[in-house]
Amino acid sequence: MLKLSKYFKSFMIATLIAIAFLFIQAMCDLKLPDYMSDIVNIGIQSNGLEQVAPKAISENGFECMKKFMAEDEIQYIQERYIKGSREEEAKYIEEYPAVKTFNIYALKNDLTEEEINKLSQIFAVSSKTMINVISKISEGTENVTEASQETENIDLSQVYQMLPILDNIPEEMINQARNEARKTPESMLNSVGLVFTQSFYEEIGIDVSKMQNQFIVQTGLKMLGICVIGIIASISVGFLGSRIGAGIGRNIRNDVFQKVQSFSSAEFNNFSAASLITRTTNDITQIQNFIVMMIRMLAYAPIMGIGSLIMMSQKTTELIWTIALACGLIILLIAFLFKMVLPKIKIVQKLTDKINLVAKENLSGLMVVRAFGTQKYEENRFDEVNSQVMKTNKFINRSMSMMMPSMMFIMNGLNLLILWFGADAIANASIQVGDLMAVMQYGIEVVMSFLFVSMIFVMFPRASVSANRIAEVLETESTIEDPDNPEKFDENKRGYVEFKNVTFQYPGADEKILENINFVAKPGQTTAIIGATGSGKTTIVNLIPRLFDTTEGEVLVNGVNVKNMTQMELHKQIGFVPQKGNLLSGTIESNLKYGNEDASQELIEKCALVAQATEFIESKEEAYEAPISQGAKNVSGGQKQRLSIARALVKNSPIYVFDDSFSALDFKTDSNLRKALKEHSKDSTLIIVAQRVSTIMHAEQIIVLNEGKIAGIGTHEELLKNCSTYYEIASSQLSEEELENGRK
Amino acid sequence: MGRGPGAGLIEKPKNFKGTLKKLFGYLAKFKIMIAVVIVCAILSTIFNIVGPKILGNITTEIYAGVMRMIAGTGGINFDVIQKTVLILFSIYVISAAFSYIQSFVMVGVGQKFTYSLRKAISEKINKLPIQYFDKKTHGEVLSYITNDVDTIAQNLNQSITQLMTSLTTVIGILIMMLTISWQMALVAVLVLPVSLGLVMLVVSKSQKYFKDQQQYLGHVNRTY
Repeated sequence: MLKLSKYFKSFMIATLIAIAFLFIQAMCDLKLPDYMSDIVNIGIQSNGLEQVAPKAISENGFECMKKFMAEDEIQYIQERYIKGSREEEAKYIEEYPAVKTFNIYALKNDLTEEEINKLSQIFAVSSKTMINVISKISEGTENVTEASQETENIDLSQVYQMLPILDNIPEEMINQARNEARKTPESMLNSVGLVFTQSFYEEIGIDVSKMQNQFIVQTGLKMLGICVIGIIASISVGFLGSRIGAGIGRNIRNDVFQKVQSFSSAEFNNFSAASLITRTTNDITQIQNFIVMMIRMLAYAPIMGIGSLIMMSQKTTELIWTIALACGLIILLIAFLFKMVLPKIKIVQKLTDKINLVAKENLSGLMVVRAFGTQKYEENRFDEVNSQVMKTNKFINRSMSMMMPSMMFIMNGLNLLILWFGADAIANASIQVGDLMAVMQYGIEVVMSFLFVSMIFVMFPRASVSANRIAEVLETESTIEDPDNPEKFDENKRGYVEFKNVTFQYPGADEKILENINFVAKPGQTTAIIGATGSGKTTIVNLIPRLFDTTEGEVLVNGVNVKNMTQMELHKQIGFVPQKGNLLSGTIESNLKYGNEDASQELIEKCALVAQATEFIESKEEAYEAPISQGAKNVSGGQKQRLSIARALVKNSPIYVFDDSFSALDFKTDSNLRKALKEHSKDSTLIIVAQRVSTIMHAEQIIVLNEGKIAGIGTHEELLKNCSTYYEIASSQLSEEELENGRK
Repeated sequence: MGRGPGAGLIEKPKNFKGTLKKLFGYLAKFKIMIAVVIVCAILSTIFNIVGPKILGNITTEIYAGVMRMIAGTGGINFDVIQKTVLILFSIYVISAAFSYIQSFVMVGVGQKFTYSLRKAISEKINKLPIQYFDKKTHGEVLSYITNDVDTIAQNLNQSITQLMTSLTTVIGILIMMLTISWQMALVAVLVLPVSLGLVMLVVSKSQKYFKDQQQYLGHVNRTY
């Protein structure tokens, strides 16, 4: 996985922006439960009152409360309330209609939050003090008991009536009541204080239920706004994530493709074509999806989880252990599944390769399969892999599907735990109901994000298997590399191909395919290579364009060792016609222009003529525009050979190599082609590998190969005389008369 | 695990109805198993939906208890809460069990379906006229066998279970919401057409690209 991390570099900025958006999204998501808790705590439970300290209070109420406060407290609140007299009523009348009938005290506007909290606390304590005092002195009197009991709605006029009685109460009693009040838990104090505040508001004519509605609507609108911001952030993250994923996918795919292009035959032996296909498509798609997931969810999870924990601990720290427990259970569950499933996932990837391989073999060997009637065999072979894939996938998916129900169960269980122990905490008045609800939500968030983080461990192995398979391709260095300082061609030896003491064996093989090969092919001459099957003919010509490197000795083209020039430069010198004339999908013209894009129509037609291809090309309706299907299955073997010969000729290079390229042609076409070729490329070096003596008997130089060694070099006539191997080949193919002619 | 939105991957075929019919033909073998899946999905969802409603009872009890505390007339009734918690616990266990049975059976259906689809393709390859392979590249055919079959199986798996759970969830939750407050239920229902419209808009725009993506993957295969 790390091996591919460099691909992230070019998307660094986009990733950073995406993460910034994630933070915005997290902040929005985290703020929502907070507001919901406000709606429950303040909007519903406290009738929309945000603070105990009243914004305005009647003079009577103010005086009344003062009676239950300590000296310093009175001082403190008096400094922070302004007396609004009846004369200034115009200023307040809209907000507090009752100002017409009596004086009010209004809270100053420029107070800090700390001051307001202090004020609220003073009011709450004095409210509780009042209740304590009243319940003490009312132990005897019947009607007052009611007033103190029904704290939900206090009749202030009753309280004011009692004021004169209070004047007679000893100071001590009030102080004692206040000390008791201060011991009351804060959330209780708060609730009691709010009941009074509500009554004070009602007294001066404020519509409290309207205030409540207003608060709820306002908070709701805030939530909506935050939601919208969150959505925008989330869409942006999705957008950026997809772009990054697709971009990285494209870059990797390009690199893999380029790498594969540079592979020599040795590397292709390591990777099957089917495996390379899976690596460029499935595996890269896998990585691409993983990246998108990682950005959209996995990066989001830790931000959200830590944020939720912080928000939660602001509400209460008592219940954090429940979350730790849930996370612990999830770790256990995932570790268990991980251990079971991981090895199987690796197997599935291999099996997918295998399924591709078997299907591909069936496809490319379609003709053979049908001709030999081995359909059943192929189907059974496929069936075997197919059922293996089914079994393994079943196991993986069944194990994985344990995940969701268990997770749901853990999550629901967490809710139960929070509620059960939260109820306790509420009974002890250490938290409020709304806070408990927020904690439940935060709890779910933490567990969810924990889940997503652990998803990394589930997805990572799959992605990392894919990443490794891609890295394997990217890291395979082609055994054939260009030199750092390419040498210049020897001008006097243009068109020369020389083999000096060349020995070759395939990497890892014991046997030498070629041994001590020496010859020179000169321009204007035809050099032919002939020998039995497996004598090393094709290997010799493959060494010229450096498809392999020699084991010992050197191959020189234009007087320079092929290892000391760039492959680009080398391949420019050679028009190569391989044994299997592979054409690419496209048209005839696009194939002929493959080695020389700028070739004129004239040149193409001339080369086609030399290659004896004109006749069948022009018999096609679209002529040069006729389509070639993939694998060139819509042209015959002979046509394929002639087209690939024409393709090499269009390249117009000084050296032409024909690797058994006339085998599929009939004798007449073969001889016509050779004649035309000799004429067309008078100054070129021609190297022809052949099985048929008739194809090469007019060559200036014939090399006879036998088991990797040169059995003789010379003209047809010379060889007939002094090379027994050549004579054997020739005698099996030529008539008595022809042999005699040659010997003369 | 994230293969993009399920609906988006279905490209518009020439004969959608016929294709769908054939697909369901393959599924006919699994009738009984699918019936089990559906029943389990519905049961699991019902239990899952009842949960929050009962959970709400706990919150209500706590809230009432707090109000009583403020009034000084009592406190939270822990007996009620304990009883409700126990009921909920058993409901959650049952729901999880059904949910697991459902996915267990569905995985079997999905994998067997994938298997038989691949088998059918591999057999068909040997029966098709050779000309067919002039038009289709090996890469494309390979892509049918691996990628496309995977996509169908995945979507099928998701569609059947999701269709069932979603349908039950919608109906169940609607009933639950109505029993809590019909006004709030109405508001929630009114939001639906809006989100549906949004989803349709996105899907109609994205469908083309999902189709292209599958196609270009085939092209990449062909290049080899």
